[in-house]
Amino acid sequence: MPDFPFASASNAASSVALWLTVASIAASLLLLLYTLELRVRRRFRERRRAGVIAHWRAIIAGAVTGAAGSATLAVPRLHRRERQEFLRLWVYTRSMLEGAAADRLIALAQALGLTEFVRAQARHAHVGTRLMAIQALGYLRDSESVAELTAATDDANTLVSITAAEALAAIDPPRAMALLIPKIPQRRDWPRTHVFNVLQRAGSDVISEPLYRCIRAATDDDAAYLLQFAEIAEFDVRDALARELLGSSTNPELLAAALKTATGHSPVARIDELLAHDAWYVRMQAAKLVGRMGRTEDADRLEKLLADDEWWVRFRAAKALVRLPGVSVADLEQVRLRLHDRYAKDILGQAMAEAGMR
Amino acid sequence: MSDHFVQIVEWTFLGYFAAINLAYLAQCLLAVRSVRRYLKSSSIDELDPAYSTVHLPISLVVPAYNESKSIVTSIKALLQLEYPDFEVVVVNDGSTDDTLEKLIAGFQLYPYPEAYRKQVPCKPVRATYRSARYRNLRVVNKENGGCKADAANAGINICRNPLVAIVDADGVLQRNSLTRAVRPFLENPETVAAGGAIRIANGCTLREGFLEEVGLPSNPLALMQVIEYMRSFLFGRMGWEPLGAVLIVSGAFGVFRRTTLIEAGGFNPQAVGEDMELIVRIHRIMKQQRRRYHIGFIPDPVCWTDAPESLKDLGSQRTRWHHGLGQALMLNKWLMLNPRGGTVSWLAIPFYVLFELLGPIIEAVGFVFFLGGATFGLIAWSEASIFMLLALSLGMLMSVCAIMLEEFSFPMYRKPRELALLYAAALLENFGYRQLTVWWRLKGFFRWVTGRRHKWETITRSASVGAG
Repeated sequence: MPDFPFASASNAASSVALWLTVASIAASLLLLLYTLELRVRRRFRERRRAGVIAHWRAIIAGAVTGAAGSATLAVPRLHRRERQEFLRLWVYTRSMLEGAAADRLIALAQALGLTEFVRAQARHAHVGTRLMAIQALGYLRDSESVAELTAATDDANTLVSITAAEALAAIDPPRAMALLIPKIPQRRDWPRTHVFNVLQRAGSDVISEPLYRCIRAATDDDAAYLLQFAEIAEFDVRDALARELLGSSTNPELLAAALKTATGHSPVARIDELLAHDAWYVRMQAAKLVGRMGRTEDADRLEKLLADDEWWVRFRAAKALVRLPGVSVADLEQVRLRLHDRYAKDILGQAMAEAGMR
Repeated sequence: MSDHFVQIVEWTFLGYFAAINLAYLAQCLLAVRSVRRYLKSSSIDELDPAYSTVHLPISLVVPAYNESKSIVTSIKALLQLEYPDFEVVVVNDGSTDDTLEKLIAGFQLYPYPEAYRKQVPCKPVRATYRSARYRNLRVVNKENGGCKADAANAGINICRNPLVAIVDADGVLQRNSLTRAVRPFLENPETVAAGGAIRIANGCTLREGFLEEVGLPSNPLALMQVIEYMRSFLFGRMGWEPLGAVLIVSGAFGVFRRTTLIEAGGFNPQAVGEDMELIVRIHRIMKQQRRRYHIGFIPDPVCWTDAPESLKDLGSQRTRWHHGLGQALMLNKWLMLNPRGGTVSWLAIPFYVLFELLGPIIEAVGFVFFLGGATFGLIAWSEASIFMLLALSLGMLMSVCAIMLEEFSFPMYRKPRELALLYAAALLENFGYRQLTVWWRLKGFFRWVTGRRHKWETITRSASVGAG
């Protein structure tokens, strides 16, 4: 036993307690020092970062506005220790630009030898570093990285794979869409909003044809999943898909997805059958579609749905009904008066109030 | 008292200390790992603005009871949150003050006939209102249900979006809270609920319902709670998250999948700690139905809440929390060591029973045993002092761990003086504050055992929050 103030501890338990006390005080002190070190390092990092940003922001701004266009060759040297920070700033600025400004920014990056650095970073073990590099390759439109990015779309890490998909779409949209659209049903881990972003950036003219072919060749489950992205496709492709699938399928999920895809500009077969379908979500989508079609003569169809068992069907039918052209407030009040079902009356009252009619 | 008996008691306490602190240490290590992973993955969405467009529509349900003083400021702040698609549903739970009148005047509310569905139980709704100024604001005026759970249930019935965030009327949200809180749902489709770190608003400067400057409270009780919240959120919950065993999503701010809330039957109006009881119940239901699910937690400070600054308010809160803990565990006792329960049944629930629920009893017995034993000469003062010092140093170690995690993840208190104050609080909380919390938790334990009920809790607001 060392000569501590409590060295008179008379038994083993006290002795263990004493050592534990000493150990925990020592650990607290070490953690305190580590916390202070973290703080000092953070301060240092922030200061250095601020310096790099201040220096390069002006140069990037010059490149964006074109002021530095003629002086591209005279850009200062990018030091090794500045590269990561510069890349972050470059990616951030590039993400907000298109057109000539983006081209000038790419030229600046190339003049600074950033492409080779980014290619190496795209193989980095640190996921955050890798993600930024993959994004940068897309923004640089680096066609030499297509093979590597294509391989990265199969990466188990969701963020890595979807970011690689985005980069590919930025480099060569038609080629990327032909590759990526068939992968979408297999990569359900890709956040849908990211997939929407990728498809939207590629453009409806680019995605429509591969999406149509993929949906028509897919299983019911995959087709239903892919159809949610069809709203970005061209109107005639959406309507063709809806027409063909509604005419041939019996799968409720697929029917609901196809109804959602239809623009409402073309007539839809089996609409009465779909408005009375067993699955409430099919009835709901059918009611929404009838609303989008906007034909006054469909008012009776929607009125029947106001007494549906499912709240969402009643709600969507009421919303569609109040928006139908040619249906006045007086007409709707008449409908309310002849309704016997309390739920039907309530939901129509709510939809009218929401539309400012009551 | 024989030496043999004293030694048995001493070894028992030592074993308990070792077990509880090893568990906390393991949590701390897991939390460090989770925070590192979180920071790595979050670095990317700072870069591309496209990522900020990723969203799911959310309904914010704000139960309010006698919140007349701050309700308009709070709701205005919520309406300014940075999120592309959300609605705010305020539920006035039959307030006896002029909360409803303030809302009507502040937001130009007009009554409208909401055909709402009663999918979870709640007291009858008297009227629903819409705002003429904000299309995404609705107010429900209902009969007093006597608790937040009943009001939250009315909100769940009326909201329409797939995600529902339950928000305290006096909570101060970060502008990007919703974007942060929705991340677990986007990253993992199996996520059914998610919470974020709650911080103490006392001492902070607020402007129009938003946080303008972070600061530490001058009130010592509130300062101690800053440390407690760091411990609880940073390594308590963050440590359980990778194990799939988060048992609490704070009532101050939690996001849920609406379908899950309805399947679970909503909040339990009989539960004292309705937030914890709901999460434990969701675990139980999912395990019983053998379904895959995930309850997420993000370490970002998403909500700032007003901490009680008087002993009376704090005591009442802690008593209620402990009562709620006992009740939540008992109502879902199926989970305890159930072969189908996984880490929840075999790690989290035993941990909460042994170290959280029974913790104050064991700690109190320890104080009495060592202090009493030394006073009456049954134990040498030196021995008693060693054990007391051990309790103190281990308590301090856990707090220092929490401060380190805070510095490592989202450092809020940047000034050197604030760091010094946090360390002082970590040390000083062991002298008096900790013993008081043991006492309040003991009271909560006995209230749970005797089955007494609690009602809506109102605490005296600190100047910072009340000022809006």
